[in-house]
Order: sequence, then C-alpha cells, then structure tokens
Amino acid sequence: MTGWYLEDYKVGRRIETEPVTLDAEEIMWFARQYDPQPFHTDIETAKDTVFEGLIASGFQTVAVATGQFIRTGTVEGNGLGGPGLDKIRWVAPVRPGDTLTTDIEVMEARVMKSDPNRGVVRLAFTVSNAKGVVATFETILITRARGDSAA
Amino acid sequence: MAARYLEEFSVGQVFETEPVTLNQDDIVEFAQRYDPQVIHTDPEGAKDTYFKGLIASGHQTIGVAFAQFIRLGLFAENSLGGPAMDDVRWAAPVRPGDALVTTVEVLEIRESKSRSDRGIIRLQFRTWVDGKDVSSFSTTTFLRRRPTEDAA
Repeated sequence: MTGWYLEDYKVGRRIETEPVTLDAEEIMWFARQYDPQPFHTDIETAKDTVFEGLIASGFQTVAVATGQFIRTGTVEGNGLGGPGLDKIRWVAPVRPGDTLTTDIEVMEARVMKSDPNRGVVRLAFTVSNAKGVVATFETILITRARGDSAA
Repeated sequence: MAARYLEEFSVGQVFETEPVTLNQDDIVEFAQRYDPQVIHTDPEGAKDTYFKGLIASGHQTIGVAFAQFIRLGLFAENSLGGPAMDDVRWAAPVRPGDALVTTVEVLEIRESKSRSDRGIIRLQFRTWVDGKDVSSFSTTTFLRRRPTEDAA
C-alpha cells in the first residue's frame, strides 16, 4: 500500500492507531537497554522508589506511540525520514498492563523551500491510558509531495 | 562516578559517556517493536531506499544516549523522574557499527518552589560518531536536594 503524500496531510486531520498494551517484561527489557533507572528496570526495586512500583520509561512511551503511527501505513512509500521531535511532556506514569491509545493530529504541512517535491509535516501525538493522558509530543516528518510521482 | 544531589551539579558542567555501538541485530530488534520501517528493519530492503542501507531508529539513538548517561551513576537514586524532553534533532543517520559518544551539558538548575526536597535540572545531550553530530536533545529531570540535617 502507498501512504499519504504531503497534500493528504490536511491541518486538523486525525490519524487513529491500534491500542498497545505494555507488560512488565517489555517495560524492563526496554529500560535495561535504554533507561536503566530503578523505577524502570526491576519490579521489586521499583517498589521502594518515589513511584512505588514499576513504570515505563518515557522514551518507551514515545517509541510505542511512534510504532503505532508507523503501523497505520501513513508514511509507507512516501516518508523520507524524520528530523526530530518537540515538546515531549510526560504527564502521568505508565504501569504494567496499561493499554496505550495514541491519537494523532496534523498541525502543519508545507512544501520544502529547497525542494518542491517534498514537504515538512508536523504531527501532534496524544498518548492515553484508561485514566487519561500520559504523554504528548510533536513529530516532524519529511514526505513526498504528490507532484513527485505524477508523470 | 558517585551519585550527586542537585547542589552538586553546576551550569556548564559537561560529562562524557562511554562509547557504545549498535550492531545490525540491535537496530532491527528495536525497530521491529517501535519503528517498523524498511530503513530500520530490513538490511537488504534498506539498500534501495533514500538512506542506501540500514539505519537505526532515531528513538533508539536517543535511548542509547540517555542510558549511557544514566550508567555514569550521577543520578542513581536521586532522580525523581523526568517530566519533559525538548528539541530532539536527528542530524545524520546512525549505521551498524558506529561508535556513539554522548556529551551531556548542564543547562539549568533550579530549586522547586513547591517541594523543598527537590529541584529541576535541565541537560543538553549531544551524540557524536567520529566527531560528527548525529543527534541532540534536552531533558528536564526532578532531582533530590541534599537532605538537610534537622537541628532539633
């Protein structure tokens, strides 16, 4: 399947993703490699921390949401990488067994000044568990414009 | 290095992490879970893309950088979690075998207005391969202040 071109990213358009549930094993697997702090790496040790139990690394929450976005197929074929993320805010802990739902909204889409066949897109991500929002962030993407493939 | 309280950091201090290398399997395993795009998951397929070969997910690069900082032991039990990260920029691709070195500079330190036992530290991370900037980001972390001795 072919994903979206620049012109498909209308400001305000929403992208829905499939929910993902994080278990303790995956939280610890991620943290031991990428965020080895006591409240992320071990169920027992985490009990004696300020969080009184295991919580997911915020880096993992953002990565999970990114995986959810990629699996929608939106960038398939036309994505040209992502230069960055902005304004990552971790507002509530993610615990083992939490099911994460990620909603995405197009904030901005513009043609690149240096190359009219490409555009820059900014997306707002909101990640929630059953209790409410756990994280928000913005992703910047480079994507092909439709003109690029028109013969 | 020994764990530090908020007061033991100062603005402008720079710490350098041990180098770390991601191999092809590390890159693919991470991406299959968190960033399943051909450029990150398929060494053969990636050759026919814009990037002309497998590259690490940017999410993995920042995670590795953060982990290497945590492994210095400066935060240890004194971190009370992080509410924010800003200005994540991936300037150049990271490929299998690249040795990543991260420098971490203290940007800002302030005491919490509402909680006397903690403060906020902001850090600027920059990750390099052979002296070339590949990624950067800043973090905000709640950090314990040195416990005060009760005179009573």
